[in-house]
Amino acid sequence: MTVLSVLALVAGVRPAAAAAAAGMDNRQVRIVAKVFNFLGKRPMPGASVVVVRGAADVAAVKAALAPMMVVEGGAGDAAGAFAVIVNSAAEAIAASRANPRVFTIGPEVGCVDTGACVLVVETQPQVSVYVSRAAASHAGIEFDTSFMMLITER
Amino acid sequence: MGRRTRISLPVAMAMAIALVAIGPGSLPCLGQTMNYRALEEIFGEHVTTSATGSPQKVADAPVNMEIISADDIRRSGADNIPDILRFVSGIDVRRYGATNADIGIRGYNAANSPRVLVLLNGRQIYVDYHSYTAWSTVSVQPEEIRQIEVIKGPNTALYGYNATAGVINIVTMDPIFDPLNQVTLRGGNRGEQKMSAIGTAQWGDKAGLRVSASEHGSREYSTADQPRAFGPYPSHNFNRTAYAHGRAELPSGITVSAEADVTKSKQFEMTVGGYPGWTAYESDREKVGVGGATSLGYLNLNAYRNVVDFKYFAGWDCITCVGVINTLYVVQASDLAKPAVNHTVRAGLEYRNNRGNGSAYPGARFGFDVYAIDGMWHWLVTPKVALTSSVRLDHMTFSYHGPVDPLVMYSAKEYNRRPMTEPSFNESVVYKPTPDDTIRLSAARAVQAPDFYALFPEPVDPTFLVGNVAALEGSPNQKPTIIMNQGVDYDHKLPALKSSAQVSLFRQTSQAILASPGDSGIIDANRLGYAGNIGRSRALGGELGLMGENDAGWRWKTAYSLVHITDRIAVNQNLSEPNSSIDYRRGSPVHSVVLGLGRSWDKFEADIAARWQSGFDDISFGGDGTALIRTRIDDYTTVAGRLGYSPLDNVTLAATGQQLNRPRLATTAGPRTERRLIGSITLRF
Repeated sequence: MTVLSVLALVAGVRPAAAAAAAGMDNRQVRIVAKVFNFLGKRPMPGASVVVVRGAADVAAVKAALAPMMVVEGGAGDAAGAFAVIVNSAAEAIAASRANPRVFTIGPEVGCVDTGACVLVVETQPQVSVYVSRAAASHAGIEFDTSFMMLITER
Repeated sequence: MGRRTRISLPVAMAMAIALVAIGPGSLPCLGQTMNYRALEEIFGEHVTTSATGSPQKVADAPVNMEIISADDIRRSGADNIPDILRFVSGIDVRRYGATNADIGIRGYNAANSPRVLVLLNGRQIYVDYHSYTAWSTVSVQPEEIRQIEVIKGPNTALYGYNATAGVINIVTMDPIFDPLNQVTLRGGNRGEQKMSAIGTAQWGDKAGLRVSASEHGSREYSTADQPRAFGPYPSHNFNRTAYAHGRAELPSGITVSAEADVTKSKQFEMTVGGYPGWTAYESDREKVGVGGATSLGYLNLNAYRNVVDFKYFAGWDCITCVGVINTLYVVQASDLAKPAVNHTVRAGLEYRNNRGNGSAYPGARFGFDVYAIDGMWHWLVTPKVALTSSVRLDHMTFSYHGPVDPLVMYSAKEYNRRPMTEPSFNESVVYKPTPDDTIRLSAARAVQAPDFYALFPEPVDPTFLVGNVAALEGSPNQKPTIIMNQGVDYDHKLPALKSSAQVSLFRQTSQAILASPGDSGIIDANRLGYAGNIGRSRALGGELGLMGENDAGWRWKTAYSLVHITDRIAVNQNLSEPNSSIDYRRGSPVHSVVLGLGRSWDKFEADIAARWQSGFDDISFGGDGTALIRTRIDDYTTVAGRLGYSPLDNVTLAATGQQLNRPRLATTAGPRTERRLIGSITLRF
């Protein structure tokens, strides 16, 4: 059982409940793309991003992450991908099983709270960015220091 | 800041040792390397490092801060910072000359105002000789300023002595992320002429260099309006500037930056003590820095040098002109870390070497050294409550080498006074009960140190006599002024109105107020005037504001500020004629109101701003120059506006009017401020 699975169980995350969350809207997608500029290691052009079905508008993700290869798929397709956009903590855990180094991006803060997602962006009522320190460390994701001072870590 | 590429501790230490080994005279200073634009695009609001040294959203900052954005600056039409700040609530601008002004925050303004620390990208441009800011030595062009951050209230726990009333930090565009290439020509009445150019070279997204230069002249302020003391003075003012700012992000993750500027200016100025004069400045400043993420946090090392050559002409020509060269070296090291998810800490060390010499002090060299240590702890107690605690300890040592006239009551040994050690702190609680509401409680202890002019002896010149004083001498026995400040702020967003409202209240006490020679009322039997501590003062006040903008392009601002000061000082007590230029109670406008309205549509921008303030007294050497005179400045309104038109994407034409409502207006005891009508064209490449 992975660390992420344990964290998810401890937090009481149930896949059925988490799957009910709505996907990211286009504004969230655009902000996620800007957050990529504050990664310690930026993705190379052509790096792949998997959008789990329903997690975001694929066309919007393609537009926001233009140099990257954006494909629609399942959480299990994260192998070899740089990032995966998921609907739920359960999908994030599944993606991490397929690729422990994948950058998991979720739709709501509970996914970060459980340590399943590295990043969640909320835009209502104001822009808030949440990062799971444990999930980021597990995936080997590092952010710019100034960015880390401005976001909420869990 | 650079990316979080880790540098091993040995490398970081080697970097520090290498910097120290270079020596302070040529050390690099670290520029502010945070990508403000990208962060603002993410969070949809301004970000700052000026409150605690750590990046923060302005809404989360534990201080009362107002941001003047690049858009605000452009729409003001102003080409200098005092004219921009004139329409900020809680700020009092005394515009003594076309390129000279003094700024107070929450009262306590004076000629050569000592209480407001002014920084350019974190390095001081404040001059320690008189403890003031010579605005004509600000080298950057308005177009290359990203934002002006105004902190209302003391913050010496971060910046050290003299950030006692507030801090104005000018943050410029980033040479890597903000390409600027443009030429601006301005011309108008009163001989207004200005040409400025800005160019940027960029190497990918890893390195950039921006340079700018300007020449400005005007014949504002007619000779007939000038105070007669020591005058008349030329009406021509000019200043020239050149500035360069470079930054590079190295593959190792280290960020290096460098800034340099030179300025030259001549102007009418009201100097400390209320002495009007024709002054000249030449300044050169250099700054370099390096930073990078280490296993202990983000390590910043920077150093800078400021040289300001100041000359004072008591009259039209240099018959009795005297000067001072103030040379300042600063070396700073800081480490910023987030050891736990809800805790951010910062630790800093600073060394300042401040020296003066020049024709005002023949044969003498003097100054002080400052050794400081500071720390900051930010604790997000709950998602709605944050505590921030900043403390700093300044240790100052003083030195004087040179002659001391036998008539002076102190010896050279006494001028090498014992060291001074003073703590500062800023404590605050920020409570955000809802996403639209922020309540901020703060308390601070701040230290204002005596300056060169107040610390060291001048030669006794038997031909010099101003009022009852034959010579102006520093005093080695002065204590620092201690300012205690308590404040409460409430910010409320009004989404339905696309607006935000702010209410701020403060209480401030100042103990052992410093007074320069000639201002202290201390005059000995030889008619030598000495600096001294003259008593205490208390201020109560606040600001109330509403500002916003909507999707139709309209923007608005309205603000009221109040400051009520009670002095308990040893000067200007029941005298028919003033014996000091210090009278904070009657010298601070109690009420002021700022209104602004603007709109952008199609290719046009139109803005108008007005300020009304109640009357105040300005004390200076007017008349025939033999005595201080109390000049009552009645309440007044001043209106400024700008109309901008961009027929092409890379061309902007603008018409700016300042003081549109009156052709001439007494705003200080200096020359009357005149109506200015200015046209400009900006070509971007």
